[in-house]
Amino acid sequence: MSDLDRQISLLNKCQLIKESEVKDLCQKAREILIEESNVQRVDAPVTICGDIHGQFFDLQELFKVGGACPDTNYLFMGDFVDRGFYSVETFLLLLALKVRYPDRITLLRGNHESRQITQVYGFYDECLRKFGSVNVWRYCCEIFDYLSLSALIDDKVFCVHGGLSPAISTLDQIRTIDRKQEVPHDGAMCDLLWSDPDEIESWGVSPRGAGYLFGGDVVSMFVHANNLDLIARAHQLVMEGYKLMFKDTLVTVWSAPNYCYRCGNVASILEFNEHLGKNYKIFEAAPHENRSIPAKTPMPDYFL
Amino acid sequence: MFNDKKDEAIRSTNDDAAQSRFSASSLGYFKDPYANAFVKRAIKRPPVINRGTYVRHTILNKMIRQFYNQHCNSKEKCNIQVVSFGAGSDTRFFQMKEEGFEFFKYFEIDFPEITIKKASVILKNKELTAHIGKYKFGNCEIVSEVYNLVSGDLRDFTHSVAPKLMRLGFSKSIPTIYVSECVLIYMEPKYSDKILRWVTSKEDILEQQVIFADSNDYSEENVEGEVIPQTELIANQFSDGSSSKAGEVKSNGDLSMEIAANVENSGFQNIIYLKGFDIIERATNINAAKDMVSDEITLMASNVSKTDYAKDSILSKKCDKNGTVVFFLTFEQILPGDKFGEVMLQNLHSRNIDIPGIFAYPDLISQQQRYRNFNFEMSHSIDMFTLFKDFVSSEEKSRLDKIEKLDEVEEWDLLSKHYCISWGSIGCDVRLQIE
Repeated sequence: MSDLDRQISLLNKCQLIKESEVKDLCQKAREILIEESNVQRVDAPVTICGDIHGQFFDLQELFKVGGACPDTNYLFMGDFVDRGFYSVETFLLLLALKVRYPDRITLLRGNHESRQITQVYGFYDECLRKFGSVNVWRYCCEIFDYLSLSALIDDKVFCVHGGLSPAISTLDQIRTIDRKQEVPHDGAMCDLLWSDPDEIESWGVSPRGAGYLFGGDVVSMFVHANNLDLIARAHQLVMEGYKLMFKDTLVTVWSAPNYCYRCGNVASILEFNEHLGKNYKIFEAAPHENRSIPAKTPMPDYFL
Repeated sequence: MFNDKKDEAIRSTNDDAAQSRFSASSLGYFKDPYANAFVKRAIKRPPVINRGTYVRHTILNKMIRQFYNQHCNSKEKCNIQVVSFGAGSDTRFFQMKEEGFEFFKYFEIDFPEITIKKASVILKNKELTAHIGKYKFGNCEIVSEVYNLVSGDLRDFTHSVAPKLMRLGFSKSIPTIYVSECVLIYMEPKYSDKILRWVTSKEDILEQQVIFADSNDYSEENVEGEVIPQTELIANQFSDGSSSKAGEVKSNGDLSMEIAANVENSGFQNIIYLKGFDIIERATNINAAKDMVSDEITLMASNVSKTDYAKDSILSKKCDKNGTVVFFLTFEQILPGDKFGEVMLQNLHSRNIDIPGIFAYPDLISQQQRYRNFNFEMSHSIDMFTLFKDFVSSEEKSRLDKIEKLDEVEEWDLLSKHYCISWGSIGCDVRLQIE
């Protein structure tokens, strides 16, 4: 068994690999990711997934529902880390799978794959807690900078974590972005990772403090200009797992069931067959007995 | 009678609240110079929790100050009273003192396991003790002229806690703010309802006072160690804290003959009946005043022979008699029936915390109706989502955004719709305005 397979089998059991192994893994991942385009081409069949947010045992549920990697091709649209209890294990497993099966799994960058955001929402603290130093966090953040910004399935389905940007009207414009940097506070790269669709006309101010709100007319123009069928994105919690908007030209896919262990939502993945036929699969949080949540795990926060 | 493990779990919620307050205030959401005194270990809370803590803290504070400013008649001799149920490690008293607010009385009530901890923090901290002044400490309680940290089980409020408050000088006849932040909801409604009923019940005032009049042993040491004679103490319990040396039972609507007879039979040397400022009867026998007993009659009883019924002290009482002024505020969870609510109950339950009150008052309408059920004149209920959206100014919002970016927009929507601030009032109406 190769080192990589051994690491994958450890990570699959939610066990950590060594800091030095993380360093090597990131080095290898970088060599693969650096070659990927800002609009990474992906062939159907492929199953697309939304936010995971460190909910490791729910990711295992996802693989149960969607099939194991590499038997199923996967496209993850970012937000692997933060909020959940197992961001480290979750991201390292996905990264190890990427290195092991580079053509079978695509990882896009989410707005949480950022130095600044992970320091607020948990990934930084988790790395420090689990490894005793911030080295692993630093290695991971360097890899975040190499993750692709978007993907294009069979030239017809555009996949991105957040949404559109007023600075972007064609896919070629995305291709010209120099993505190898921390997510900026504004501009095209920021918008792709932060924006949300809304029932408005044209553009609006985002309540998140970054990115924009964009309306159906914006989507319609972008879809036409780039000869697309669909925009698939994640980023927003949807209680029913997925949500279609704008005459089915945009879909939000959310893959973190019972988000933050308290939202009570179901999750979904979207399967495209080789003809781009769609099939949504809904799944719930992993049964409690399947989780080896440490006894000291804090309860999700409420006001008490 | 009660489950100790569950009680312990509920007591532990105090630490959560203290840590949340420290997390938000240390980031600059609001000022709380005393928050750090009550946390052993600082825990960083996520932005949704910090924002919610901000809303809870600032809106409640704003409303309490609004009521205070409407009803405080003089800063020097303030007539405002506060009762904080399950106060835990709340710092409101100290913050308000720091800002120059004075009180007639300020009561904080909690389990003795909590008050003993709080007392030990306060007594070790010079700044905090400075705000209390002279105090007496014992039985897990701090007793001082204004600030009183009282131990007790709120489920037995009317029998064990209320009499303590009365003995410490609580008076229903002056404007009173009652605050309960995630406290009543931990109790079965049969217990919490009793508290609300007690707050608005006038009959209970009289009964309580007669109980005291019947009681024999009230001689005790005051803060300075002087022995307060029995007669004077009884008088103080009856009075509203003014210098009157007389015990008094105010009729407040209906002075029943039974109560009057009880007072007469309890051995007071002087009993008088007043109508306005006029002594209409100096009686040792209720029958003498029988015809005159009505809602305008005040009964005063005293054992002090040279009683000086100072007119101005009577005057202040007559002013208040027009109506008890009550302002009752709660911050509580709602909506147990949807998905988020279900998971919330499960998660709390897994920590041995149950909130049975949520089923009795599950939404904004029933929260509001709760006060009406107990004869409050006005009541309102607003969820935290609306409080933030409509009652926090856009300047404040952009200030908060600069502290921390809140990415979890959908989660905020869910979480904030499951908490509300509700308030009921008598003799006043507090309206929320944009910060």
